[in-house]
Amino acid sequence: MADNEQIELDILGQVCPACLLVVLRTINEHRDLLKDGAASLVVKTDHRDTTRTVPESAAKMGYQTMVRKKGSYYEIIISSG
Amino acid sequence: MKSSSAAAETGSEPTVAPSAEAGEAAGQSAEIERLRAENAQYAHYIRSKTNQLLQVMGTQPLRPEEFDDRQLLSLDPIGIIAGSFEQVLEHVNDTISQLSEARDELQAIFDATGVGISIIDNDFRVIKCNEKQRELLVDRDLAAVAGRYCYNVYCQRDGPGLDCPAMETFATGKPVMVREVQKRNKYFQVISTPFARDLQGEVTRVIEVSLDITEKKRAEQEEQRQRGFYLTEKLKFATVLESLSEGLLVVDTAQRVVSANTAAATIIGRNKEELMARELSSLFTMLSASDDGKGLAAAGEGICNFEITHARDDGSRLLAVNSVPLQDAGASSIGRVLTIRDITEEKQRRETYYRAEKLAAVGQLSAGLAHELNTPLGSILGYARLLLRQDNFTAEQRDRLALIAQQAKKSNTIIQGLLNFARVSTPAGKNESRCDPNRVIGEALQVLAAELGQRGIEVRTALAEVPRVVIDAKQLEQVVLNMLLNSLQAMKESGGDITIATTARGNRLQLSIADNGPGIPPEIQSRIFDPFFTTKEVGEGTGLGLSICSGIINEFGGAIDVDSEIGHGTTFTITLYLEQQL
Amino acid sequence: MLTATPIVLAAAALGLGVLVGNLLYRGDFCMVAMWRDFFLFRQTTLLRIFVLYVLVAAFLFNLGVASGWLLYPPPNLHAASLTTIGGGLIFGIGMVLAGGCVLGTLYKMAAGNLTNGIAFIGILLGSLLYAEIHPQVSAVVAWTTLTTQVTLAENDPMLRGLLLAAILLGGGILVGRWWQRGELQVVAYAEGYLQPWKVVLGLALLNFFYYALTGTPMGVTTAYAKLAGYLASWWWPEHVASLAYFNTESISWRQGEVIISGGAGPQLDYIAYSEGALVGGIFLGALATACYYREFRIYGLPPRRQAVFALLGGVLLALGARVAGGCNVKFFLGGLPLLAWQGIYFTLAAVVGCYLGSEILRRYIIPG
Repeated sequence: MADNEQIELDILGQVCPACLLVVLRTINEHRDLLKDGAASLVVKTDHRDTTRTVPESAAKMGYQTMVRKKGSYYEIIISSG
Repeated sequence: MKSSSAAAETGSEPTVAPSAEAGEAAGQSAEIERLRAENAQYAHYIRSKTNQLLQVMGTQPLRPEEFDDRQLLSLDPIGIIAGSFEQVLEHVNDTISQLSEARDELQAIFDATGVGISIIDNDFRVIKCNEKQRELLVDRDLAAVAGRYCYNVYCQRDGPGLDCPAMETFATGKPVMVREVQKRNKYFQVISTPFARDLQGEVTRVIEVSLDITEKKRAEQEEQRQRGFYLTEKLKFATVLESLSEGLLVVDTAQRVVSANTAAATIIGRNKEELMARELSSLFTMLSASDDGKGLAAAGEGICNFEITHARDDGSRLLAVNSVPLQDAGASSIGRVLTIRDITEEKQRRETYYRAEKLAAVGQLSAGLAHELNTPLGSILGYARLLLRQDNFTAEQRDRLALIAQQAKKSNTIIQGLLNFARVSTPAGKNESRCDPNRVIGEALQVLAAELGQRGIEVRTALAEVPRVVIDAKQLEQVVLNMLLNSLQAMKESGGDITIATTARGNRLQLSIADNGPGIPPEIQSRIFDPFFTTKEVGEGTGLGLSICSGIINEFGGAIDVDSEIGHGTTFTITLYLEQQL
Repeated sequence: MLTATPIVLAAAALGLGVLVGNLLYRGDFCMVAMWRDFFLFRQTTLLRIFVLYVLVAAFLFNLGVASGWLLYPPPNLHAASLTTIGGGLIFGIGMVLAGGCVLGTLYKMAAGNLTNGIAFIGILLGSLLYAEIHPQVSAVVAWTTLTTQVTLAENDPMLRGLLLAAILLGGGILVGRWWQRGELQVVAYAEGYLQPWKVVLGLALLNFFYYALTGTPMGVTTAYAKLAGYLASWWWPEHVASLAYFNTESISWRQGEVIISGGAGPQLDYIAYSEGALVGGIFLGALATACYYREFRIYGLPPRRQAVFALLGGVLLALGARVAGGCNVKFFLGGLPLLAWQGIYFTLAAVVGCYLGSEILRRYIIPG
């Protein structure tokens, strides 16, 4: 994780499922980098539901996700695993 | 959902065209209204499709109340999800190729593994079976195993047995292991594991793994047999050790006892348990004290018949010790084996025997010598006496003649003594003789009464009431007289007391004659019973007295012992058998 | 009922409310999604959770009833009438439009969601609206009574027992199977997230305690009406005082020497001490939990059209609840487990309403 690029997606304040679509779009845009393991996507969200919907979809697409709480918001890290 | 969207698609084309042609104001507003409705239907269609696709992706649908249609459309949701689906498909394809790779790997392992594997369904039909399993359990002539009942092909039975591990796994849903199954002269370990379950969680298939443990089993049996053999040998060896009359100790390199037999315990005078783990030097106190470690305790190589004196609770014993180093298979020392023999009695017997031998030899010699000398001495004495009767000698000559006669007479006495000694050494079957020891002592004291009184020696007697003893009265009197004379002579300058005591000890009489004279020096104590050994001036004693006594007592099965301490006196103790009281 | 001392009652109800608010927030509990997701997407996880709730609550409540700890039938349940069904329909539509039931609206509002805040205002407005038509509705209630009994087999303990046993057994087997297949688990990463099955177990227990404490299972909407009446009386005190609804005691029973009663009127009475305290507790509990996880924020100001839906949904929720004589909390969570006729009819009607609401949303409202 240290040697690869981190793509940040800040959707703080937005409501799911708009978040989900935005996250999916971002994953699609960066799919090559993400699949290679050259980059990982860090999503910042403050919506509890997003922590459930994003990992579910990302898993279907073959990504590993890690969710962690950062102060008042969540960070969802999506990588090739 | 579908029907409404279909209507929207088919309905839109024909209606749009004519309304555009009309161009009337009223028609236009109606047109706008219609288009707006259509637009809404499209938006709804896209929303529902998006939701449907999101559902397929396994996540939550859009919430209608949270999302504006225009915003939604501007995001291009279908496009996003199509992109995501592409990735999902890619992921699925990857997974499929990984799965098929894994399946190929598994198949290869399945075929190549050294254990037999088969998959059995809950009808006990074999679904799959690898080559090893077939080789282990199935008849070679049988072509296809799959589809047959496992109890048929594996166990040659008509139904599953109660010991069948697969049956238990089907029933319990847990893995089962049967440690030993004997089939076709081979031993197997069979493990059955649940493999597939139905929706109710019941096991539908099990994997049965058979491991050929025949060689292990054989090795185990061989090991067991050998262990039995070793145990028997060990037991035999232990019995042999126990049956030895010699004591046997095994010590380790630190000189600690690791093994001992009963005889060793008896000889040393301790319990067997007490011996274990004790240091050798602590068992034989003499050893460590007197040896300075150069003897037994340090002996690396074997030593033979090392004699030691061992203090036991019931007296000190003389032990002969052999030591042999003990080595392990690698020739390094692991300790020593000591054999111990109690030679106290043996030594005593041997000494007695030597003395008797010597006495016998002296006796024979003396008898011959005495015989030869008797006649010439008799002539000397006879002629001396004849000459004394003549009157033609001066007084001086007569005195010399008297001296000759006197000395000849003395010589004769010595010769008589020798003859007596020779006579007692010759066995004469006097074992039937009995006498009252107290009476004999009394007579002996009467004979010496004058002598004793003259020297101022007091005699005390402590005579117990005892039965008669097995010995001739004359000879016992001679022994007692000899002893008393010895004591008298020892005390002729110092004066003193003599105590005579008799006691019955079991079937023996103990007769002790004790004086409080100067005592006998230790270095000559062992020689006082030897013939011709004397401490008196030459010509004063024959050196035969005590050796004659010893001879007499030995002849009647008794013993004579001396215990003496310089400055305190000497005690002779005579032991004789008492007449058997019937 | 354990106590009639107002302050003790209110404190206990507040405490239970705080716990309920905590549970709801942490489990993202939503009774609308239960039905809506089932109709729209055939997603049944939440519906299964609801079945689990009904079973556990049915067991606890009926055990309590059989051992005499609980009042039976509870004084806030009545015989069903056509208005139960009509109200249920309106309520169901309102639920979908408002994007949450009366509970969801409350706890999401507490966490700072503005859409739910608007829906809550709608609920207050709807309650006031209902007060105007209360006499007419009451007349309809009286005409169209459907049942003579409050609960199924009310006077036949034997039959009830058999019915309950059958329901518990069948439902238990069903739930057991779902559990075995892991179909009651939801994968989630949010901090402090509680599995829905844990939430409903907690809810069933808390409802049981509330029932034992206050004499009735949980209800919330009369307290909303009371709040609406109280607020309205600031501006139009005479008008509020003249309305029959705010002068009627919706609940009244004799407990030993004491007559316990309360209604929607803007005064402190039994309703204020029980339902009012509970509502306050839920609000505070959810707020406190959101703050604890540092997730409280004012957010989700909706586009104008959505705001209108939310407000309208709130109005319909309140109207439906008032017409039916109770909301989903009383009927889903309390009535169904007790096999109350009102609970059964209301649930069926609300489910249909949910379906209709989804369709209306889809066909007429979204194309604005």
